Amino acid sequence: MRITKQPLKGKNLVILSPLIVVIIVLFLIPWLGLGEYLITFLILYFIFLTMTEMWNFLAGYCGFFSLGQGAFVGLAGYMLGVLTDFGWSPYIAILISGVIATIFAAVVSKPLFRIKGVYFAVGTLALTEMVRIFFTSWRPSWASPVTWGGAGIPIKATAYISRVEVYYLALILALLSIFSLKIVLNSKLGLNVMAICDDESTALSCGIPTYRYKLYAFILYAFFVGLAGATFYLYQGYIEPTGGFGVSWTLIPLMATIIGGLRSIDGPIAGALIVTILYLQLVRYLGLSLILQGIIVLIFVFVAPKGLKSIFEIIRKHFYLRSSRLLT
Amino acid sequence: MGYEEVLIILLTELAEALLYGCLLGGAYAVIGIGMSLILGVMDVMNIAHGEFILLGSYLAYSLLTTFGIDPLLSLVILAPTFFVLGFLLQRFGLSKPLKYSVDIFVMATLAISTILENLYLLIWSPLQKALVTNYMLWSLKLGEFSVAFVFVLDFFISIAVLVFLREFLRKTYLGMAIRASSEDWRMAQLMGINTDNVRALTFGLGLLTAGIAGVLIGLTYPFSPSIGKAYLVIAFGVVVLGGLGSMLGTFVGGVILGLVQVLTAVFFDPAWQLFASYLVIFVLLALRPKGVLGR
Repeated sequence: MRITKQPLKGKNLVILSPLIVVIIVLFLIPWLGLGEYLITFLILYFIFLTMTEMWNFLAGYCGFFSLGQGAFVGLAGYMLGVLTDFGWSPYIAILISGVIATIFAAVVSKPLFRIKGVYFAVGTLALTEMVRIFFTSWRPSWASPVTWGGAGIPIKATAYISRVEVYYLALILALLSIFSLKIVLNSKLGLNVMAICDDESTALSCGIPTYRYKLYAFILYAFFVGLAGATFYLYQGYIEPTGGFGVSWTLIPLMATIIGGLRSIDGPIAGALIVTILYLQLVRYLGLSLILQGIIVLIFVFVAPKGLKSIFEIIRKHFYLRSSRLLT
Repeated sequence: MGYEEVLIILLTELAEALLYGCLLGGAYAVIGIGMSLILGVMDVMNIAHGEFILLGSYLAYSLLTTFGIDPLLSLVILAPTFFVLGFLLQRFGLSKPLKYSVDIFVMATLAISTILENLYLLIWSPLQKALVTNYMLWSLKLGEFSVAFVFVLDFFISIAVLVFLREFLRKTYLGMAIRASSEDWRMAQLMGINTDNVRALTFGLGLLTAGIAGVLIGLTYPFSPSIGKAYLVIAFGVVVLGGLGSMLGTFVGGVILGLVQVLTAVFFDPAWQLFASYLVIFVLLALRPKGVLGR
């Protein structure tokens, strides 16, 4: 896959201008009085979008099919809860939560990078389970207000931070993640990472320090997922181990990616939108919700493994391609 | 208490823990062997493996509570059922995503695992269940110690399954076809082996062992719908520690995990037993990525 750098000329400005308008509108939405529901919807959308973009970056461009999103989300959420409990400003706490997720990623990269492909996928899942058990069982007497074992902890900052502030946080986060991915994929880091994904031993023999670049990519992923997780828990106001480190954190970006298509930056924008709508519609059905999400993933896997793109292909095949097939 | 008495008590506890760890390790080897088989032949992991093991436990539970069929007897019904289920699932379902790409296969099995877990929640409630039998509390006297009968049962059935699989893979034509496909499936195809069927067969065998493991583990420990992931991680650990393609390696991997778990439960805190075995998986992964016996 090649991504060519395009200088910002007049023609590109024409393409970019609708984008700029959309961003301005998104910044103005809280002041248009369109209702709480839209704000809530968009907060969730931006958080899911960030996670999907990052997951897609890791799975599509770096070849690391991570099933352990929950570990980073949960760690960041817990860190946010603990820091705001100590009276820190939630903004600084979110940033530190992201940093903690990053440090965690750097620590676990040593065993995780030894394994590849499907081993990596299950390895990250095992890691998430490990962290979940840690937070469920860890209940020392000296830190009882910090972790209440399986019962979880309330996040106090939610009480004094407004919905609009969380909205702006999520919006900025989503924009940052998309733009940083656009920049990264055009940079040396992105090209090296893609080379490693395509063929690691060839990349290594070309003189690319593979471990270091994989680590950079993993760190970028962990940082943004950590930030998104912390923002989500700032919105939610409560974290407990089963939800915080749950497999649903993997299922959401996975579903959005399979709907939007793997290895693309624009795909997740559509995928995350559909997933957020589904999430909010299904949220009242609890157990059934996850069953339905699983069934949707299965349907896409079997009918349209390239996501919406292959649905368009199917439609095109039925309506347009019939005539062209007669010609060939 | 004198110093010597304390030492004797400690040593007895240690010996007992080592014994239980080894016995449990046998059952863990059966949890892992299905995943190892599928991984060897198809180069993918079945994320729903843990949930299929749990399905074995739950079906045995339902057979026990509604029809009064003993779990060991239900193995005779469950093992062929699981084999046919796995064969059909792979032949008519999962072969398509597998052909597309490994990632898509992983997505599909993750979706299946989520669906199954939540179905168990709906059908059997989130409460813990156990296979209550009259031999549950039996114990065998081995000189000084007494050993719970179910652990011994687990161990010997596991050994039987492992030996059976080993002989099946070595001696029969189908076994040789499976081994040939795991070495090089394109070449196997050129030699006239129907690799689609071989894959389906392997998946069936994998699920068969999952069903057996489910009944065995269900007899030993209580189970709840969310525990499937723990089985998956144990299976992963067994595969990672034992390396691929060797029954002995699988057995050793299972025993290591069993020992770590039991030793932590006895000498530290039962709440941390799973955490300790997961930690060992990652530490050994960092030190010996090709498995404990691997070169």
